[in-house]
Amino acid sequence: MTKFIIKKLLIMTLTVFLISLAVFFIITLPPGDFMTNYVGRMLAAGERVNQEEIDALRRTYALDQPFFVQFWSWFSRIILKGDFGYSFSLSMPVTAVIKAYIGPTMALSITTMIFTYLIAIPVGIYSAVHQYSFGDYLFTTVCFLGQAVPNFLMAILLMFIAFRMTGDTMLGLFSPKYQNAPWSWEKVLDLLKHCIIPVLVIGLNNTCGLIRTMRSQMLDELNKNYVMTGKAKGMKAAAIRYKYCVRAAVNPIASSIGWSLVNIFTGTTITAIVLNLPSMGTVMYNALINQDMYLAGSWLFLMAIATVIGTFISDVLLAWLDPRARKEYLKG
Amino acid sequence: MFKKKDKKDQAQSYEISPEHILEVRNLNVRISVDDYLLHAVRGVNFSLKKGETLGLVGESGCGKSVTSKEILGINPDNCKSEGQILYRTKSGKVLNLLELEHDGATYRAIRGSEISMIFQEPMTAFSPLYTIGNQLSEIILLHDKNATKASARERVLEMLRKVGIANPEKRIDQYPHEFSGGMLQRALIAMMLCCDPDLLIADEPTTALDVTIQAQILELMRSLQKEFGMSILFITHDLGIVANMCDNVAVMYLGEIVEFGSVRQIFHNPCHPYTKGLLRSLPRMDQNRDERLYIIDGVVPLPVDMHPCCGFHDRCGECLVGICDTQQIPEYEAEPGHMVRCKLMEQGVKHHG
Amino acid sequence: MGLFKSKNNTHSDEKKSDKYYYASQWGLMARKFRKHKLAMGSTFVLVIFYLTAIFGNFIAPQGTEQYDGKFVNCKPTPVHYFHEGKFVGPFVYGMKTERDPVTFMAQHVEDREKICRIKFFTQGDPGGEYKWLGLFPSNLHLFEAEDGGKIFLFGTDNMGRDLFSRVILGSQISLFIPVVGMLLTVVLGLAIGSLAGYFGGWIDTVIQRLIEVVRSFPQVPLWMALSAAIPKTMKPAQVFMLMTIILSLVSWPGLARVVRSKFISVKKEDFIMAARISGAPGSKLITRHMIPSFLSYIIVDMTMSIPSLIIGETTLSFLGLGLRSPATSWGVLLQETNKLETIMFYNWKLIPMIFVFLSVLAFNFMGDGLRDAADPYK
Repeated sequence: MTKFIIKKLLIMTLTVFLISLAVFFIITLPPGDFMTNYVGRMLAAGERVNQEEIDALRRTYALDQPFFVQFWSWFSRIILKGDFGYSFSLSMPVTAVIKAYIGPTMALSITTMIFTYLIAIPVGIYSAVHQYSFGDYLFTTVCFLGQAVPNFLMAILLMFIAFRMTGDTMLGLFSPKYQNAPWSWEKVLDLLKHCIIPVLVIGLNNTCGLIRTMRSQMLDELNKNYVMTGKAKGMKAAAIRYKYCVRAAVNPIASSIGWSLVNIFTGTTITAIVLNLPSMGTVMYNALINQDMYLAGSWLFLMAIATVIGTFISDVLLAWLDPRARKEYLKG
Repeated sequence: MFKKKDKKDQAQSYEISPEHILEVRNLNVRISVDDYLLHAVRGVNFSLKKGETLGLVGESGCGKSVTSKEILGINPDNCKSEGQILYRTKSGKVLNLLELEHDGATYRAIRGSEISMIFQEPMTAFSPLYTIGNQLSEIILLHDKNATKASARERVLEMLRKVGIANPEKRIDQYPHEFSGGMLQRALIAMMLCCDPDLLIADEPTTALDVTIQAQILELMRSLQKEFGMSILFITHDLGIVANMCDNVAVMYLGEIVEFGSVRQIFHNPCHPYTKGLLRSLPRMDQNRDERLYIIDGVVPLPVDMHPCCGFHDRCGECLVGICDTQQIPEYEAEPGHMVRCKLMEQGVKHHG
Repeated sequence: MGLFKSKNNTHSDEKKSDKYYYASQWGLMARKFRKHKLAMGSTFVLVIFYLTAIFGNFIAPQGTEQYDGKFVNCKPTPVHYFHEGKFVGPFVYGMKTERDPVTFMAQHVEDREKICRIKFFTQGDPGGEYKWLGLFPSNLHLFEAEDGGKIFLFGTDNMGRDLFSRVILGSQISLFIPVVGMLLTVVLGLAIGSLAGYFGGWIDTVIQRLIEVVRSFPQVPLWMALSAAIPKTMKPAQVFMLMTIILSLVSWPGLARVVRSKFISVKKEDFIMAARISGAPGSKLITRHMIPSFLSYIIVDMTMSIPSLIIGETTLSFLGLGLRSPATSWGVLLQETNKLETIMFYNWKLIPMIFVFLSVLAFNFMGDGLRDAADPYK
């Protein structure tokens, strides 16, 4: 197992390096470098530009150098100093921006993830066991519909419904009253209330996908020969289902946690923009609109890293849960 | 619905011949597939004595597997059955298994401990996620209320040793994918014999295995039968195995038993044209090498919308037009204990061939 | 079973089943697909959508650049058949502007006095000229109201543009970007996947790393980053091309991975071995034997990937990162709904959403039907 993990970690390192290369390439795609844009904006805003300062910044970020030198200066600063560069639109280091927003983003993502799995697994099992029943048709239909609505439309719709029902659009994570208030029970409740729509929106797509996967996995398992063996042993049908089928069907689902995390991150991005949540998504969006590429790039980089880590977790989980995969991994 | 049935069988009592352990009477099974209703088993009758081995022979799709699974009550829900399957339990009571609720306590107590079954593909018969030991001791813990985990493990080790698995102490904690096919079949046999059943149903247990392994498994089953004294219902399409293993043979075609008799009777005096065809299509040592193997023309039809007729009539070289394809053919007794379902057996009917 | 040779059957129903047994793979698929009612219905809906898009300029009463400043934020115009109990055929009432006595907002209401019949196959107003398929100049439109009447079936937007026309013209982009993007994806995925699967070795290793890297990027954020890099000064047609490239750049690895693994498994099959032994060259082996053996799978996979491309384009345009006005796509149309007031007061502006929803759903169902049909074990 250790050997397997070490091997995976080595591949991961290589992947991360390649990813950073790709990210940096995307960052440099827009015409002109950041400084030109920055200077242009400052001038447009009627501010004075200190040429010396500009030149100093240019040198720091090696903007006058060829692509690979620029890349290396960017990459090495991330790796060695944890310095992601400077956000020109917010006028603060990218690291500080990330620090400010990573908390709510993670909290929202993890809440959604828990919600997703708590709903998807039981519903999927139910649908498979009661295949072609009314409940199965109902869930399947809901899932199809849920997957057909883009996140942002769902957000708009729910916002509309919330406004119609409560007179509050539930934008942001807090009502204005509690925005700067000290933590209290009321504030927590207010937060939870504001979490309902984001969690619903972000979770819906993923939950629907998971339900369908869980259902088809479970159906596959229910038709396996070992179910027959279990019956021939004298086991109760329900016992076979829970000891053998569910365990086997959950394996791939549980090990898809890594991918789910990515989906949820993605979902957060769009939803956060529409619902105006203080998450990385909104920051990224503004950064993209303003072509504040260090900020946008860092965020893209972090997401890709999260994906790589998620995939790693998935692989390890799968190896840990399934003896067959364990053997294969140990061999390879 | 099934619950009511469960109560009913307390009231009604059945009689079967004292030397019999199992009697199947007029069993019919219909399977609904998509828009069709397959009449998979059509009026099957047979009985099985204690300690006896009965071979159930036929091509794929002739209903032999469905019949055997019906005995154990493990056919899927789209199968509807009629008739009687009478079974004498270890306590001596006779039950009609068809009246029991499939997932009910009575039936479950019988499955695995009184009637066991081994399957065609040992590789898929085990769950890949649990150790062999876990899956084997489960059956003991299910049926023996006094068993502890430790005692069950002891018993499993003993059984693994009995079926010829080397180094059982190590093997017991391995997963199915670490076993070869033959080893898995041994483990499956060990599992199904853990609770000392009276009847073992073997559904083509050697089809998926190599020929050398086949012989070993058959040998193992024979010796275990001697030791445990159980009856075996042996399902196969391999007549060679039948000749080796069985006392009696039932030949099935299209859901019907077309011929029933002792191994000797069937092999030396086959009466039904289908049985004759089967025997002729076996390769023989004394056959000329250039000679082609005998082929029965046509394929097994699907048993949909069956009208009264001999199921074999459209492939039979001796078919009596107007009789075989329009009438339900009764059973004829060729010799004592040798039953044939063929009109040609009737006296006065012209024998073509 | 192979032992027994087939006998000539005389019964007609047996002949039918013979046909079933000897039908080609595609014949069987078509047969099973036709039985899937939802999938058939969805296919029908999609055919209508695409036909409407192709004949869009004819069906839409207004062109992309026409607008009428007098009719800003109009409600959908109801089409009537009866006037005061008398049948007059399809017509709309004329429109007049009133001020709401409470909010003082301008409102367009029906003028019950004025009847404007609907004419069909008319020559449109100046400004409504178009070139069908970019080739044939015409100004023929499906319908128009007589006597200066206005028909806004889906209402108008805040510039007085007919939403019905915009939805139809928008579909020309929203429904074709995904298809072009998908075709690009197929080409990329097939080429790269077969390279990796067929040759193996270091080529495979390099491609696998590449796939892994691209897959490590979450789809939508990467789309966002890439489309943000599109210069704002570009022409709509160029943006369209770039969008399709961006969409397919992100989605090819999924297909390439599948193709690669299919290649590896199919390489070991006997029929490939047979073709190889009989001396078929590598390229023929790939195009004639290997790809057809999992073509059905690819078709299913591609149908299933279109919804995410539709959603991708719509989302990006909605966020203002993809196509921008004056280019018209469903996402661009939905940009207006980003403001809460819009949904509160002008809820007909959500109509484009229904089309996004329907087309995604239809592609999903069609893909599902195709998958079931392509599955030989069902």
